[in-house]
Amino acid sequence: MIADVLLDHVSAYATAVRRHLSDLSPEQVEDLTDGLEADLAEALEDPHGPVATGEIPIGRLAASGVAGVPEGGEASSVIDLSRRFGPAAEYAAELRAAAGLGPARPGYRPAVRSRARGVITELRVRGHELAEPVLSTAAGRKALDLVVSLRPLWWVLRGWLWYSILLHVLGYSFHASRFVPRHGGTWLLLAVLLLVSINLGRGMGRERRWVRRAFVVLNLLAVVAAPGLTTAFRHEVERAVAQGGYPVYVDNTVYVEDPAGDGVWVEGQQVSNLFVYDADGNPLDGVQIFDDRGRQVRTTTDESWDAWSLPGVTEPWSFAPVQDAYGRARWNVYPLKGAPFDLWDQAEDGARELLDGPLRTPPAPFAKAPAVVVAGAADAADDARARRTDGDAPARVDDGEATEAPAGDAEPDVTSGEATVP
Amino acid sequence: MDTTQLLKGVLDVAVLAVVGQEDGYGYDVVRRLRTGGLEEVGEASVYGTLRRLYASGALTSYVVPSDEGPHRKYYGINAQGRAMLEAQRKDWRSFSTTLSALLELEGDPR
Repeated sequence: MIADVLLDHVSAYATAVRRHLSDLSPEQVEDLTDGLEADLAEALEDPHGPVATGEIPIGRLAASGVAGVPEGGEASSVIDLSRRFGPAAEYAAELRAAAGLGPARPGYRPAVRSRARGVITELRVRGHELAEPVLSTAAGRKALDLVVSLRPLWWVLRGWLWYSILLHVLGYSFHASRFVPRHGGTWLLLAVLLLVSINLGRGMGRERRWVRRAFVVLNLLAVVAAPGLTTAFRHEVERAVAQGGYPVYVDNTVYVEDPAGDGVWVEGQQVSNLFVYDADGNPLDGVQIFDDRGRQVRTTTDESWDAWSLPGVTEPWSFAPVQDAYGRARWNVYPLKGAPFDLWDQAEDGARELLDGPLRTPPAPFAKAPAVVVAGAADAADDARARRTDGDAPARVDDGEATEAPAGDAEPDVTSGEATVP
Repeated sequence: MDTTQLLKGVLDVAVLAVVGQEDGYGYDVVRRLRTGGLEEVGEASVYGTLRRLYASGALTSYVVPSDEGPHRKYYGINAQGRAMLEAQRKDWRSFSTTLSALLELEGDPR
């Protein structure tokens, strides 16, 4: 642990020295200070190092044991490198003088980059000074040990973060494989990045300066991206769990057959109204139609809401039911009566309501249909006539006006009424 | 007498001599100089001298990565360095003989 802290101080001091050389070319600085950290660190650890300037070599401290620790007590408190090596400016001056390079140009101000590096160095050293009282306690050391032992976890996480960042950069922002590889190529990419991250974590390639620099940048990138990416990943997982898997959108044409609904169809076209004629071809009004099971035959089921286009009529119509003797609406009484669609509105109770004008019978296809000859029709007609004179109930229509107006009597009336509708 | 001023003049040959015995990195050279009696040699001065000798072509250098911690830069002597060392050794001998004789003359009460 002392070694880690020591190395940070050493590199901070070396950085400070380099800052004082920054009027030289980068190559010259590199040439002058390459390996400086190792020399400084070793000088500090040398138990036989000089004490002439009042510094206490770390090595001597360790060798002499706790009893020999001079004032200041804690080992960390002696890591003031300027006490050991002198001010960085003087150290740099000595270095450049011995190397045969002239003194720094007067009034020279270090480059912005170099000054920024100085600030970072300063912050790092300050951070260590703040952390040292905590880290030098037993609990602090244990915590630090734990953190250090967890480093491989970070290496793996970092590899994954790089993978995810790369896929986002490559434009897979909405692709599921931006978090978890979905095919061979992405698996391979993840594997490579994991290997790179782990090997960098183990210190491979650190002796190369560009590797160290790239490493710092990539580390920062991973740290910055970590909160956003892990949150996005969590949401993705939650969504996947909620849906029982990733959503899959497939274009599939599904043919759905309309269930056979109510209505009467002729030649594939839905019929709006029915017109009934008797055997002689005369139109009938108020005819109730039932099927063979006694169910009402309805052409419309829209409860007056739909607009029906009628042949030969420009405006659409809506139809109305007829009331039976008990006040129930009946939709199987033909021809249906109605009114133009515009004349309807919604009533208070939500039902359709005719605002204006009477209900009318829409135009019939023809005033009179061809007469038909039905076998035994004459007999039947005779029977019916006979029954009527006997006082039996009429055979065909059993309620409303139709009862009072048998087909034969209503003939002229209906025909004339129809003619006036359009 | 300020020996650091004296050291400046002879640091080149001292460093050449130490590296000539065996390759060494910065602090290693410092330690060997100090062990040899030059207790007050400045570390930065030695490092600067090594760099200057290397730049002038008297030394070779190579980097040795370290398992833990920063890498070390080793220096070794080459033919040009050995020639330089030999020449300076002669110069030093004649200079020290001359100065010794001079000092003995002056120091002799007679």
